[in-house]
Order: sequence, then C-alpha cells, then structure tokens
Amino acid sequence: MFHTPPFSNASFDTKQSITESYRDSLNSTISNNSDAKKPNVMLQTASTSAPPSPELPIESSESNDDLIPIASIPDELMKLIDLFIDDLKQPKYSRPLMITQLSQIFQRFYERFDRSCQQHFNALASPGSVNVMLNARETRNSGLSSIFNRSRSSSFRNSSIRTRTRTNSEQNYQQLLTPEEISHQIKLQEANNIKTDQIMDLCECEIFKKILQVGTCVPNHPTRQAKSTSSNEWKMTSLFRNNPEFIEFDKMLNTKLNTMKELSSSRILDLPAFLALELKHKERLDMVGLLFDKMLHENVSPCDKVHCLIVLHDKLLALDQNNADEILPSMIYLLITNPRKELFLNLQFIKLFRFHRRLKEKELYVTTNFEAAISFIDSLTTKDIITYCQHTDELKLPHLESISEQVKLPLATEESFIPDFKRSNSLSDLISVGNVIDSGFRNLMGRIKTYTPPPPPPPPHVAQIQVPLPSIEVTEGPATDWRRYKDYKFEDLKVSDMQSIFDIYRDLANKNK
Amino acid sequence: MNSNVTSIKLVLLGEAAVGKSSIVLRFVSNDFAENKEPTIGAAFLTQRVNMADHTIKFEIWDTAGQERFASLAPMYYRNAQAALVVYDVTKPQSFIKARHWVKELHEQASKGIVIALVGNKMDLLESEEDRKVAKEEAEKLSQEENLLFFETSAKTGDNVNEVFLAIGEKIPLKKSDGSNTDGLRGTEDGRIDLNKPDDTSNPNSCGC
Repeated sequence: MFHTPPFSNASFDTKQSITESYRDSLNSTISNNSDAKKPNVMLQTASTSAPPSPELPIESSESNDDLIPIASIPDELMKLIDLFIDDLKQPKYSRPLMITQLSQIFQRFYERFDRSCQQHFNALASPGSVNVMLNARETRNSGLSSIFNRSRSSSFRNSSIRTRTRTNSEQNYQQLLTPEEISHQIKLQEANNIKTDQIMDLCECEIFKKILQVGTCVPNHPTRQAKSTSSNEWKMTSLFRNNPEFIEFDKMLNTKLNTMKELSSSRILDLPAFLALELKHKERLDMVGLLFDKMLHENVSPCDKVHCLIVLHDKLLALDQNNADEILPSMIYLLITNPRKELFLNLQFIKLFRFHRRLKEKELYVTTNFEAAISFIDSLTTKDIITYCQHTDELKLPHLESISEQVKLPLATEESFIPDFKRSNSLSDLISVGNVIDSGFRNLMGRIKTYTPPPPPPPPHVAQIQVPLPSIEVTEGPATDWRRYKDYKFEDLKVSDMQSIFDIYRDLANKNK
Repeated sequence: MNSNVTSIKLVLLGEAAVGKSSIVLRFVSNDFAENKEPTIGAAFLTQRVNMADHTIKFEIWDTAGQERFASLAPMYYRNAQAALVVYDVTKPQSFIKARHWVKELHEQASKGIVIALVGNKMDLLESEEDRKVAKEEAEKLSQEENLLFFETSAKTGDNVNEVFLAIGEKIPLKKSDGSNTDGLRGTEDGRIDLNKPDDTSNPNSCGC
C-alpha cells in the first residue's frame, strides 16, 4: 500500500515523490504483523516503557546513546542569565508587572537563550564557519529535501552567508552534499537540538536558583527585599503578589480540599465511589501523594516541578497498571486526601514559567492531567456530591461552590507585552522630554507670530489680549543676573536660558577684557 | 530513518471500558492484556509510523471515560489534530456516547480535526446476535459526519494499525518548505496547526 510514493494523493508532497522517486529500499515498509494483508508500514516505538514486541521492526529513532548529558551551562551562556537577572532587578517599570507580563518577559528570554545556545553549539561543531543549515533551529522537520533545496539555492536566502555546499568558483557550480554528508549533518543537528534542550532545562533551574538568592523585590524596596532574602525558602506567592486573585483562588481551593477531606475522613462522603475509583492499594497510593510535598517545597524551577509531576504520574501508572480511566480519579483522590497549599499556584507557575516550547508531549500531558484534577475540584458543588453522602438528613453539608465563578482570573492574552511605560531617570530621556516641551512652545510662538492683529482701536479703549505665554523674564544687567542660574541643573535649561547664559558669559568676558 | 517527522496529537475518547487503552497498547507495543490488567500502564504514548517519505509521530493522549469527567475533555482535545472515538460493538450505550463525542468535537475541537469512529471488541461477536451496534448505523454516522470508520479488535489486533494509518493519510502533511499540501502551516515543532487560516484559498491572491 505504501511501497511507492503516491504522488496522486494530496496528502503527500508531490515534489518529494519525484525527487525521491521510488526509493523502495529506503522506505522499505515492513508490517508489524505477520498478516500479509496488513498495510505495510514501519512502526517505531519512541517513548514507551514496554519492551518492544519481537515481531515489530523497531528502530529507536530518538536514542542518542553517544550523547553525554550536559552538567553545566557554558560560561558565555551563563553571562546571559546573569544579565537577565540583573535586568529583572532594575526598577524600570512605572507599574508593577502582572504575572502574565512577567511570564512573557521570561518566555522572550528563553527564546533568545535558546537561539544563543544553538549558535554556541553550531560554532563548536563547525569552528570558523557560519553554517546556514545549523543556524535555524528547524532541523527536526526539515528533512532531506530541505537540505537539497538549500544546497541548490544558498544565494536565494543570503548571498553573504556561506553554505555547507562545496563551491567551485572556477567552474561556477555547486556540488550537492553526498548522502553521507547529509546524514552527518542531520545527526549533528539533532545532537545540537538535544544539547540545547538540556541547556534550556539547566537555564530554567539556574534562573530560579538565582532568583531564590537575590529575591524578587527591586532594590528600591529595601524592607521587602530584606524580608525575602532572610528566609532561604522559595516563596511561590511572591511572584503572584501583583495578582491577588491567583492567591485568593489558591486559598479557596485549599479550603475546599480540606472540606472534602474532612467529609471523606468522617465517612460522610464515599470518596472512592464518587470518583469511580477502585482502591486496591490505598497505602501505596497515599505514599505517592507525598510527592506533592516534593513538588511544592523541594523543587524550585518549573522544569523540576514538571518532572516531579511526571514521576508522580509514572508512579500512579505503575501502582496498579492503571490506564487513563484511573489516572485522573487517582490524581483527584490524592489531591483531596493530601490537601496542600499552593497547588494551584504551582500549576500556574509551571504553565507560565516553563519554557513553552519544552512544555510538550508527556510534560504537557501530565500538566494537563494535573490541571484537569484541579479544575474538577474547582467546579465541585454540594449538588455533585450529595448522592454519595451519608447521614445527609442529620448533618448539614457544607456549602460547596465553584471557585472560578467566585474568583475571576485574568484571561491569558495573546497580546505581547511591550513595557513602554518606563520609569527613567536617564539624561537622554529628560532631554527628549525637554525637546518635546520646547518644540511645543516654539509651535505656540510661531502661531502667535503669524497671527495678524486687527488695527489698533483708539487708545482709551485698548483691550489687552492676555496670551498665556511662557514667562520670559526681562534680563537685567549681567552683574545682577548671573547668579540666577546657579541652582539650575543643566537638564532643566531651555534654549532661551542657554542663550541668556551665553549672553552673560559674553558680557563678563568683555568686562574682563 | 526518515527525518521528515510530523507530530500529530491524537486524543482517545469514549466511554469507560470500551477498550481505548487496549487499542493504543496494541498499536504501540502489539500487546493485549485479557483481564483489564495491561502489562504497562497507558495514558500518554508515542508511536512513529513511516509513510513513504514521511514519518508521522503519533502523540496519543488517553482520557478518562467516566461520565463525570466528560466536562474535562476539552482540556485534552485542545489543539488535537486527530481523535479516535471508540465504542464497544456489544454496548449500544457506548455508541450513543460516541455520537455525543463526535458532535462535541465538531463543535469545540480544532477546525480540521480528523475523527475516526472505532467500533471495538469485534472478537466478542461469536454470532450476529452478540452485536448490539449495527455496522450500517455506524457507517451512516461516519458518512454524515465525515468520519473515518473501522471496526477493530484490540484483542486480535484486527484493523488496529489500519485506523492509525488512515488517520496518517488524511492528516495534511507538511512540505519540506514548511507549508503543507493543504496550505496549512506547520508549527516549529513539526505540528500541523489546524487553526491557521488557509492562505492559499484566498481568491484574491495571485497564484504565483
């Protein structure tokens, strides 16, 4: 079925079908099943933990066994992190940043850092040459054809940039890369991508480790800074302090979790039945719940926290060979039986401060599971649980309401945050403000000049027109006048002031002659 | 190894115990466990499939099938390029639920999402009397709603690979230049963004 490139099929790139014409040996599609009627495809397991079936022709496509894990960030990249932290500490915003704005600043930095990493590894891979193919981080999907395309038309992108193709200037033609070279390039690119991903994770950890050291307050709040640095403990809430609604939501969630736990422990609510959960290994499940503490208190960076969620997820799976029908209720059960503060804030922290491009695949799945569990608890009402409660005639159930209906969280905006309301004391900014004011006055003066007044009426009936002009003081003699500018700062001087200072100087100079 | 890889987020929907996880396990590791005790837990799995000059990487998101968690499903199928709506051919109620899922996906999921309707547990049909969901009924639904339709058995492996291959064929793949055959744009990590507008369909644009 898939032996030949079906160029008539709209799903396939017809250009590819022609360039790769009928390379059956390369695309030798092998069925995973001995049944000859099955369509012929090659199946490759990627991230499953199960041992592959011996009947499957499996190729571990993502294994990079020869790749040594990177333990530390190179110094030149570390400098970028230091600069970023310094920049964060600058009191340059006129208003406190909202959490979403702060998140955007972090995400922009991650993007820049990611590019710098890629350039760093490219430079290491090919010292002394600029490699077009390696410059853009698009390699995972570029494929052979894109390399061929670039090889043929390097000048089309930027004639000043050298390519990996060999150029024979005498004969003025370019040789295409050999299959071995292409294969080598692809391998190199993938290795670089993996290294960059590792560095990005280290970068996240390093940033939050540094923030832990320096605190989250800008220098002009000495009291708050002293407070935050005195306790050597990461305070998640400090990032959210400009968005109290998040903190409020978290508090209400915690209260709700405690209420649910109380209902469950006093056997009023049959929690497993409510969650359709078969509790086979309750003690072991409770042990898994302790991982929440690790996530909340031991891990600092979003990267570490999400990895902790993955561990929690894997342990839940391994506990009872669970599947998705049981993972989510197990997670909700754990949240209720282990009510912790800052669960919601941790979720938001991961969503906002994990590098968005790395929050994918399994990381995204476990984060979504965690989010779904919290969302389920958020939306619970008394009406939902009443059918699973006992003694409801004698006891009055606590009133449970949806939290998100009570606390409105800001919607995630697609609009990018541009910090244009800067607080600045710099000279250049003041001069530019002065220029604007000056030009405003000049404009006003110009209009007055061009105004032709009507012929003057007779002297006894002169109506004086009051024009709100800037007060230009009549200059007195230089001897009495030269002191009046002594308290002025240079930045405060207008052009007219400078003119008069110059006049004073000239008079004094003439006198001294 | 083919380096031209397109990632496809595929979400599994369907009532509890219809065999969603079993289908995935059969596809990914050619495995099946008789007594609801799979050898490995399955919730998020990936599988690569080589198709001609292209490799498709399926990122398979399994979901909880219990009714009380149905409201959480949008979190899982957000940005999904494909969905498997699974029902049990011996349980008519599961087919009714499958109809609801199809309707919801059309209303709320990404605009060009590829949906496959899958009637599972064909191995349980020893006689025609055991069948509680007529094949014609499911075919009619799939024609009306433009779905792929398969009847499978995760236990025997019948038709399981075909479901995923058909999805792979129907997904608009990206070209080497970053675009794809349907004018949709591939994202940076090799995904097809079904929500991006189709620039090529603009009648005012010049065709050069």
